[in-house]
Amino acid sequence: MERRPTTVTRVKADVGGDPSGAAGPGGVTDERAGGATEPGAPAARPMRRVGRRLRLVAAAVVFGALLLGTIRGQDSDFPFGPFRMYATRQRPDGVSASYRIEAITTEGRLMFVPGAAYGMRRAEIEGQIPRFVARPALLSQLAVAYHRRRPDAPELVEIHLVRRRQQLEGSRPTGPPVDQVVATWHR
Amino acid sequence: MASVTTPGPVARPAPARGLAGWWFRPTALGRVAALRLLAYLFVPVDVLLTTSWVYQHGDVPAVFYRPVLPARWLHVPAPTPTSVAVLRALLVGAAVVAAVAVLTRTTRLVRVAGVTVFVLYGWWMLIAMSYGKVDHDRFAYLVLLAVLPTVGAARLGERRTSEPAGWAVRMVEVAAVATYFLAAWAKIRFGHWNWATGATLTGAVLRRGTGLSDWMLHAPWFLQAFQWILITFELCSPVILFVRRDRTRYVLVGLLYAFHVATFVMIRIIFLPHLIALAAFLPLEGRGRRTSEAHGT
Repeated sequence: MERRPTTVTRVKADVGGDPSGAAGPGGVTDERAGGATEPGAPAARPMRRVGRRLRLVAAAVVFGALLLGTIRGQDSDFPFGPFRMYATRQRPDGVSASYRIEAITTEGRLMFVPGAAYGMRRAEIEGQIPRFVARPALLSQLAVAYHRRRPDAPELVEIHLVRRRQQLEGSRPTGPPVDQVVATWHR
Repeated sequence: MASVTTPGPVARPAPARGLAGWWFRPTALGRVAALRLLAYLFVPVDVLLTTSWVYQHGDVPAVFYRPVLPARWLHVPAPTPTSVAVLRALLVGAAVVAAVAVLTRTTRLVRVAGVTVFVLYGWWMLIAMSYGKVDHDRFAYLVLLAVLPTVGAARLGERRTSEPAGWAVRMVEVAAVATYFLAAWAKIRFGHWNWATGATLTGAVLRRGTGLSDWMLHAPWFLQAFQWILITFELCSPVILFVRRDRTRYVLVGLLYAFHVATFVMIRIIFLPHLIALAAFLPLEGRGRRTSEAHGT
């Protein structure tokens, strides 16, 4: 306890702002004081009022925005949108749908095109389904991306957006899945 | 004015009072140092390996760019192959510098590089999420990157506590818990109160099932039970913020990690950045004698 007076000097330095950047905006700790005492001794002292207030305001803004986004927002309000992954209820006797992209190359081969081939994830394609259905010509832009990413691969001359529907009954899949082309583009 | 520090080894911060006290619970600086190291080392892993698809967005025609809120406000243009390449290089570079600065205890550098990482990673996220699908594993990690530079000097293993460290850790804890709790809220908002009686997970397994989960399609009771457990646990998640016994809290956090691994086995979805943020609950400063128990000579 005899060494304690150092603490007082440090407090002054902190209030003036620590030019070394060694303390937080609210200035709190001091390397020397901590080093001089037993390891594990608490070195904290109260933060300055303004530092506390700023932090409380920041917390209120961040979590207030998130709460608002959860109540009223949409995905496009990221990062404050609702965490709606799997939030939509699938009816146990309804139809479960998923989508994929298929294409025909200049060689006449029909193939499944994974998202990485045109730079988008499957869920991103699914997020834009209404646009593809309304304007199938938009699929041509997937061919543009595909050729950017695979300049040496055979060209795509036709692209299909395929929906796979799986009927459920009592939450179990019943019968084979049914595929249907919902949008097509060809050169 | 300078607040008066009580002389003597038992000098304690003004006792935490009320709500403010809860936000500023003095926390070991070593935890912040460890979180810095984890968070900054994770950036290259995330950007180059586990979510490398973000980089591909540079090749996607701008017509598919659907900018999310901050991108609209800031008029962030659609990315190009060059802009994503430059951004990725700067981001990884800043993260490596920040991680090295933690190890060399260069406080000013760790804070400047930390702010840079937050800004660049935030930009990276705008590019990631602006194509029709947003992910929900980023919120707590973004908060973590935002708050890390607000704490001053901290070294690995340091047991001394500080209030700014306490606030930073608390922000991340609340963000992590909010991710669960508000996910339940979203289920009620979009799926209504009977969400848990639906076949949502059946749909998920159909879409992205693994060899280890396909049997579940023929055991709908199992998936439905899982839905009940999921939404119950999400609604109860705030408990973890108020648990008093450290041991109990660590066990709960361990269960959360186990839950995420189980989800990965079932439908190949893992919230890696969220798992980094979740570490804020753990005694990363090392265990042993607690600072709060330090007493005078």
